[in-house]
Amino acid sequence: MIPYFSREDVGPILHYLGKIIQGIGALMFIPFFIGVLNGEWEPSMDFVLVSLFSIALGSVLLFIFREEKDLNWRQGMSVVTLCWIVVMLLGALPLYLSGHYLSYLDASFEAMSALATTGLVLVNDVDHMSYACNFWRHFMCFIGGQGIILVALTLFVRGGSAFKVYVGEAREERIMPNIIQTARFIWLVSLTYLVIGTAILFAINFWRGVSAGRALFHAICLFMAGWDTAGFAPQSQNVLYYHSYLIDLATAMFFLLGAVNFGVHYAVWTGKPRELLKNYELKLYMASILITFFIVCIGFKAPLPFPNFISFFRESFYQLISAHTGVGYSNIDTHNFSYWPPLAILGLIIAMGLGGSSTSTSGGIKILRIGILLKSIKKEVKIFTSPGATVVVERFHHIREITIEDNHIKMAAIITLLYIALYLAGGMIGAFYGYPFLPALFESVSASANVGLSMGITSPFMPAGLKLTYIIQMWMGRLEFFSIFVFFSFLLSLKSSE
Amino acid sequence: MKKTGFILIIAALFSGIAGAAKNIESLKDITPVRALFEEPSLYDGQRLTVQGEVIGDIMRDGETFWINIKDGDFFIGVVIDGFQKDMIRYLGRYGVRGDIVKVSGTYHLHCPLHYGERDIHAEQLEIVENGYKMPETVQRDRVILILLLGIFTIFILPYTQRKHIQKDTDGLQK
Repeated sequence: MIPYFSREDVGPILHYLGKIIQGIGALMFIPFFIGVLNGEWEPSMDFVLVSLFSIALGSVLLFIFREEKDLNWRQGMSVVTLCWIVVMLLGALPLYLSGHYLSYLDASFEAMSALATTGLVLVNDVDHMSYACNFWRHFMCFIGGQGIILVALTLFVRGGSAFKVYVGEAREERIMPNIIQTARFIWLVSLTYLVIGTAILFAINFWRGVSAGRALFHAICLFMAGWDTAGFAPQSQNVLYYHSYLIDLATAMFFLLGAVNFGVHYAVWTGKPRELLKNYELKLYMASILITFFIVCIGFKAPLPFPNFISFFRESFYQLISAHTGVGYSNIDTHNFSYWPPLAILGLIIAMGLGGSSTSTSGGIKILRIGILLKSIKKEVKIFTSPGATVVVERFHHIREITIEDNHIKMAAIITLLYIALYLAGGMIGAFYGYPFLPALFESVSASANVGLSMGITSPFMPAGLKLTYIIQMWMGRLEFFSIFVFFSFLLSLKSSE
Repeated sequence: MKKTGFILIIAALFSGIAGAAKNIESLKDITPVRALFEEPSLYDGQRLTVQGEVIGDIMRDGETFWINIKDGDFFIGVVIDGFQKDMIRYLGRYGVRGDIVKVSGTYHLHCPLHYGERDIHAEQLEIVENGYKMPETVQRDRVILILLLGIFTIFILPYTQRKHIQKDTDGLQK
C-alpha cells in the first residue's frame, strides 16, 4: 500500500526546515562582517536584522516541533522543496533592503537565480552596491551551487535522513560509501579550487593595477559564481567589465571544471587520471561542445561581422561554453545577440538545454542522460538487427562499468521530456507576453537549465507574471522536478484528508 | 581644362573644410551610449563624444588603461592613456559617485586591437563633474528592531538546542 501524507509528516518537515533556516541566518553573519570591515554600516545592519529574524524564525519552528525523527523519503523531498522557497524568501530580504531592487519580487527573483545558479539578474545599479550585499549575491550562488542541503548535511543532518534530502536536491551518486563523507568531499574539492581560483583571479586583477582589496573581492566573487556555474559578476557588465582575455581564460577554466562530475574529480584526486580519458559522460560532453559550436559556426555565414577570427572565436566560443556549462558568464553585451543569426542562437539554445555533467554544479538535462538515451537507441537497433535469441547488452564507463537497464532509460527519458516541456512552456508564456518566440525560448531555456544568458527580455521592467514563471522554472530546473512533485502530492493529500 | 581642374581643387578644399567642421561639430555633440548599442554599425569607426560616470576600477592593459563609463543603463569600455588616467579621482562604487567624464575618441564595434571588444579609444578626456562621497544614514527604527529580535533570539535559542530524538518507525524506508 502506498502511504499517504498525514499531519504527522508536518512535524519532522518543519523541524528540519527550522534547522536550515537557523543555518541560513548564521551564514548571513559572513556578509555582515564584510560590511563592518568596509565601514558599510547600513548594509551591515540589514544583515544583522535578517540574520536575527531567520534565527528567531528557525528557533520558533524548532521550539514548536521539537522531536528529531529520521526523515522518510516523502518528508525528505518535502524538506528540500520547501527549504529552497524559504531560503529564497529570506535571502531576498537583505537584497530588497539594499534599495537596489524595484520590488520584493525582483529581489526574490535574484535570490532564486543565485541559489539555483542561474545568473539572470534584476538588480539595478549593482556598480554602486555595497560589498556586503554584492558578496551575499555571490555567496548565495556558492551555497546553492554546492546545494543548500549539502551545506546542511555537513553541518547538522545526520543518520538515515541524509541520503533522502541529498537525492531530493537532484544529486544521486554516492561518490563515497557514506553520504556525509560524499558531502564533505564535494566541499573539499570546492574549497581547494576556491583557494586556487581566487589566487589566480586575484593575481590577474592585481597585476592589472586593481587595488589589493578590490582585486580580492572581484576574485572571490568571480570564482564563487563561476565554479558553481551561476554567472553572477560584481559589476553590471558581467565579465565584459574586465576587458581581459586572461580573465576570459581563467573563468572559462573554472566553470568548465565546475561542470565536471564530482565523481570524476574524486577519481583524479585519488590517483586515477585515466578516468578523464575513459569516462563516457566526459567524452560525450566534449563531443557535444564541438557539435554545438559547429552549429554556431555554420550559423555565422561568411562574411563574418568580425575583424578577424580571434574576435569571432572569443565572442562565439566563450558564449557557447558558458551556455553549455550553464554558467551564463558573458564577455559581450546582450545587444550583441542582435547580430547573431537565428541558427547560431539555436546552437546556444541546444547547448543550454543539454547542460553539463550529472552530479556537478551545472543545470539542464545533463549529458549522462543524453548518453543513456543514445545507448538505448543503439541497443534497440542492435535488437532489431540481431537473430531472435540474442541478448543485447549495452555498457558504458562512468566511474565504473555500467550496464544499461530499463530503469536507467526510463528515468533519463522522463526527466528529458520534463525538461523539454518546461523549456517549451516558458517559451510559450514569453510569447504570450508579446516577446518574439526565439528570444522567449532562449530566455526560458536559460532559466530552466539554470544558465543565465539573456537576449534582453530579463529586466526589472518585464511583466511580473513572467518573473514568477522564470522563478518557478529556475526552481524546478534546479531540483529536477521529483522532489517538487512529491511536495505537491503532500499538499494535495493534506487537503483531501481534511 | 585648367579651369575645370581649378574648380575641382576649390570644391575639394571646401568639402574638406566642411567635413572637418562637421567632425568638430559631431565631437561637440554628445552621443548617448545607448545609441552605440542600438545602432552600432552607424557609429562604427566614427569619432564621437560620450559622457558618463566612471565606475569600478581602472585596469592596466600594456601602456594604456581601461575604464568603464556608465550612461543611464548603458556602459562602454574606454581605452585611455596614463595622462588621462591621472585626471580621474573618483570611481563610482558603494558610497561614492564617480567623476562624470566627457570622452572624445573613435568608437569600434569590434576593435581589431582588443580582440573584438566594443570600445572607444579616447583622444580627449575632460572631467565634467567631480565625483564625491555619499554619507550613510543609520535608521533608528532598524536599530530598535535589531535589539528586540536579539533579545528574543537569546531567550528562545537555548530551548531549541535540547534534543528530543524519536526514531522513525514509519514504513517506507529500509
